[in-house]
Amino acid sequence: MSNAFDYLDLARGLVLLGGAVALLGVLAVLIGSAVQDRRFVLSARRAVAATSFLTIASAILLTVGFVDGRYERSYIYNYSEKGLPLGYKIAGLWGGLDGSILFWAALIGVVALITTIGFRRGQSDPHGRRMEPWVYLVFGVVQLFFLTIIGFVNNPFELLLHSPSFAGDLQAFLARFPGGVVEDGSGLNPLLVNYWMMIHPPCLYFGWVVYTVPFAYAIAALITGEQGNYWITRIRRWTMIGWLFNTTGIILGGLWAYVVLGWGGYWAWDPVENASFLPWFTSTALLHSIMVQERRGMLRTWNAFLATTTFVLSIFGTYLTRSGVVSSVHAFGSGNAVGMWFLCFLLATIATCLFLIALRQPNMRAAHRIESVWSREAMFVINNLVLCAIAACILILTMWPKISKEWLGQDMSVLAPVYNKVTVPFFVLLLLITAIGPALGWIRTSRRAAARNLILPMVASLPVALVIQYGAELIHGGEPRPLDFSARLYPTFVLLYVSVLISFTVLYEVLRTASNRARRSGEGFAAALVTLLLRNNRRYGGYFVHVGLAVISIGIVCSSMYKVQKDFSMERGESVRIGTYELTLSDVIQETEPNYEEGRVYARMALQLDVRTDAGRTFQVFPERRVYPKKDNQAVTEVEIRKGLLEDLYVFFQSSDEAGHINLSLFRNPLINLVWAGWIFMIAGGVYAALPLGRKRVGLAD
Amino acid sequence: MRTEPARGPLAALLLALLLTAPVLADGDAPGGGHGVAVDPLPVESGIDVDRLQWLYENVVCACPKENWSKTLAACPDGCAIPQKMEIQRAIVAGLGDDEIIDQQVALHGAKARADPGMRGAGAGAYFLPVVALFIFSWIAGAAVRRWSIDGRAARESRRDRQGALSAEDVARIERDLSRFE
Repeated sequence: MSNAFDYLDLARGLVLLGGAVALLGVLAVLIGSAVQDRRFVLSARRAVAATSFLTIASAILLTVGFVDGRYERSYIYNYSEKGLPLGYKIAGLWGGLDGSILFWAALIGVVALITTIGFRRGQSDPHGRRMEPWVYLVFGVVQLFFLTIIGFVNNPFELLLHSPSFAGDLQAFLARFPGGVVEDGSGLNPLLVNYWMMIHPPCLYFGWVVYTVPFAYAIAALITGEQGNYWITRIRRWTMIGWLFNTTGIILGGLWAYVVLGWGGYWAWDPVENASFLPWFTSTALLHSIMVQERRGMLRTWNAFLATTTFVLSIFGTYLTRSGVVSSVHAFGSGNAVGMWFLCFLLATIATCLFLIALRQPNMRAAHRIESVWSREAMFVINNLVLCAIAACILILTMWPKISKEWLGQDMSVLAPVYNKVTVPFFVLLLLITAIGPALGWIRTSRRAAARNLILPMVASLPVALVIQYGAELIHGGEPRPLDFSARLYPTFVLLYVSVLISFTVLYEVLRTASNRARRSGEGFAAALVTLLLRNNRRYGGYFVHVGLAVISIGIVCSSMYKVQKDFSMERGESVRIGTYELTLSDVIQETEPNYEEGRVYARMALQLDVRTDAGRTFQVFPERRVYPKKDNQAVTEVEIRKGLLEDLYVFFQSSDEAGHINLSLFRNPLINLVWAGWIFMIAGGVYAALPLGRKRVGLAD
Repeated sequence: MRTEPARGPLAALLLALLLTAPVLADGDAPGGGHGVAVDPLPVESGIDVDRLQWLYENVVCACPKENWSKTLAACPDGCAIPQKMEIQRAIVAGLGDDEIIDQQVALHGAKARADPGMRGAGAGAYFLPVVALFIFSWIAGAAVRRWSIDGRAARESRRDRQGALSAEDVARIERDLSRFE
C-alpha cells in the first residue's frame, strides 16, 4: 500500500493522459480541416493510437492489480478475493461498473488501433484520405468521453479509504482494517462465478465496441458527402465481426442464465437482455442493406442511418445497464451518476447524427430504383423494415414501465407476455422473408422462376415441420400448450413450418446452383458444389447463418411451447414423476466446503436424487444450494441439467424448511439444444462469410 | 466447480452455524428461501400444469429482491413460493384465470400483472409499437417512392445523354417526314 512507485496510480495517470491526448487528436482534426493541412491528420492518427495504447496499458495494470491482490483499492476489494481462480480474478476487470467502463475503453482502443493501421496501409486511396480525419474525430470523441468518465466519475483505481463506504474516515477504516492493511477482498458475486461469465461479457462488449467503426465511417461519409461505395466496403467486415460477437454474447448470456439462474429458461425479456438485442437487429439490417448499396447503389442514406443507430443503441444499452434507470438482474445498481453522462452523450450523438443525415440526405441519391417486389433488394428492404420495427417495439416496451411511471403516473410491469404478443407476428414475418429471399434474384424475378424456386421447398417442408411438431408433442406428453393468445393466433406449426422452409430453400438453392454449374462446366457435381461454396463464401456463409437462425427458431419454439415445469415438495424417500422420469429423493447432504483452492468457505446442501426412466435407464442428479458467508449469506443454486439429444431434464433445488420438506422444480425442455446448435451454425456461417476468400465483387451499382 | 468437502472442526462449526441459523430459516437472507413458512406444495396437486404455468407466466414475482423484474415462471427462488401457493389455492378454489390475476393485483399491487393489457397506460405498450410500425412503413414507402422517381429521372437523363430522342423531337421528325412525303 505504501509502495513508492504504485503502478495503479500510474494506471490512473495513463487514463488522464490518454484523455488529454484524445482531446489533442480531436483538436488536430478540427484545425487540420480548417487550414487544409494533411500533417494535422497524421497528428490525429498518432493521437488516436497513443490514446489507445495508454488506455489498454491502464486496463492491463488494473488486471495486474486484481491478480496481485491489491485490495486496498475499492474496486478490486469489491470484485475479487484471494481464493478466486486466476480466470475469475481477471474477469473482475469487467465484473463491476467502474472496471467495465475501463474495459470498454480498452476495447475501443484495440479497434481504433486496427483502424489506424488500416488507414496507414491504404493511404494512397483518395476516398480513404478524405474520410480518414473524420474517422479519427469520432474515435477521439468517443475515447475522450469514456476516459473522462473513468478519470472523474467512475474511478476504478480509487482507494478503499476514499470510497463511499469510508469517505476518507481513517478511524472507521482502521477499525475495520487494523493497521490499514486490507488482506482480502469481499469477493465476486457468486452468480458471476461461472465460466460463461468469463466469456459472455467480453464478447458482448467487443461486439458493441466494434460497431464504433461503422459509426465512425458513416459519420465521416456524412461529413465529407462521400457518396460512393468506399465506406460501405470498409465497414462490411467490421459490421460482420461486431455482429458475430454480439450474437455470441447474446447466446452465451442465454446459456449462462440457463445453467445458473435456475428457472429453466434462457430469455426473460429483461431490460438489459433487450438492450443487448437492440443493436443486433439494426446491425443485422445493416449487413443486408450493405449488399443493396454495393450491388444496386441504393439505400445510401438508410445505411448511414443504420450504422449510426447501431452505435447509438449500443450506447443506449450501456446507459440502461449502468444508470439503473430500469430494474434488472444484470444492471450495475441504481442511481449511478454515470447514467446522466451516458444520457447526455447519447442525446448529443443522436442530435449530431440526425443533423448530418438531414444535411446530406438530398445528395445521397439512389442510383437505381426497385424494379419489382419480386426481387432480392425488395426483400432486403422489407427485411430491414421488419428488423427495425422489432427493435422499435422492444425499445418502446423496455422503456414503457419507466415512461408510464414518470409521465403518466401509473406503475406497471411489462414483461414476457406483452413482448411475445407484440413481437411474435414480426418474427413470423422475418422468418418468412428469410425463407423467400434466397429464392429471388436481383432486379426482377419472374413469377414462374420464383414459384419454381419455392414450390419444392414449400412442399418438402410440410412433412418435416409436422414430424417436428408431433415429436415435440410426444415429448411434452399431450396437447401443445398455448403460451398466450398469440400462440392461438400464430400456431406453433406456422413458426416451425417457416423455420424448416428457411433451411429447405437454402438447400434447394445450393443444390440447384451447383447442379447448373456442373452441367455448364462439365465438372462433377461435388467439384461444382465445392467451387461454388469457395468462390461465393459471402453468399453461402450468409445462407448458413440463415440455417442457424432456422435451427434456433425451432429450438425456441419447441422449448417454450412444449416445456413442462412441475414444482414439488417432497421428503426423503419420496418419489415424484415428470414425464418419463421418476425421481426419488434418496439423500440430503449437508456440509461446508472451501470454495476454489482456499479460504472462502460456503455451506452446501445437496440433494441426491435417483432417477429412473421408463426405458429402464437409471442415474443420479445432485442439485445444490450454497450459502456464501462472505457475501452476506447469499444463497446460490447449482442447477443439475441432464442433457439429452431430444430434451434436457432440469432439476432445481428451490428451498427447504425446518420440517424437512424439500421444494424442487423440475423441467423438461424439449429440443432446447437446438438453440445452442443453431448458434454454432450462425457463427460458422458468419465467420465463413467474413473470410476474404471469394472473387472480388463488382456491383451493378458500379 | 464442485470440490472435495473440507473436514475439521471449523467446517463443522460453520456448517452448524450456516445451515441452522435463523437468517436462513426466516427467508430474509438475500437470495435465501429456506424454510419459508408456507404450506408445502403438494406432490400431486391435481392442478392442470399447463394452466398453472400460464398463470406463472402472467403474474410478476413479488419477491422484494427481484424488484418486479421477473414473472413467477422466471423466478425460481424460494421466496416466490408463498405467491405460487396463493395461485394454486385460487385454482383449487375454482377461480378463473382473470379472477386469479385480479386477486394477485389486489394482494400485491398493479405491478403484479405481467401484461397490463389495454387498461390505462398499458394500452400504450400495445399502441406505440403499432405507431412505430406505421412510421417505419411510411418511411419505407416514402423511400421506395423516392427511389422510383430518382431512378426514373436518372434513367431519363442517361437516355438523354446517350442521344435518345425526346417526345418533342420525335414529333418534330415525324412532322418533317410527313412534309417530305
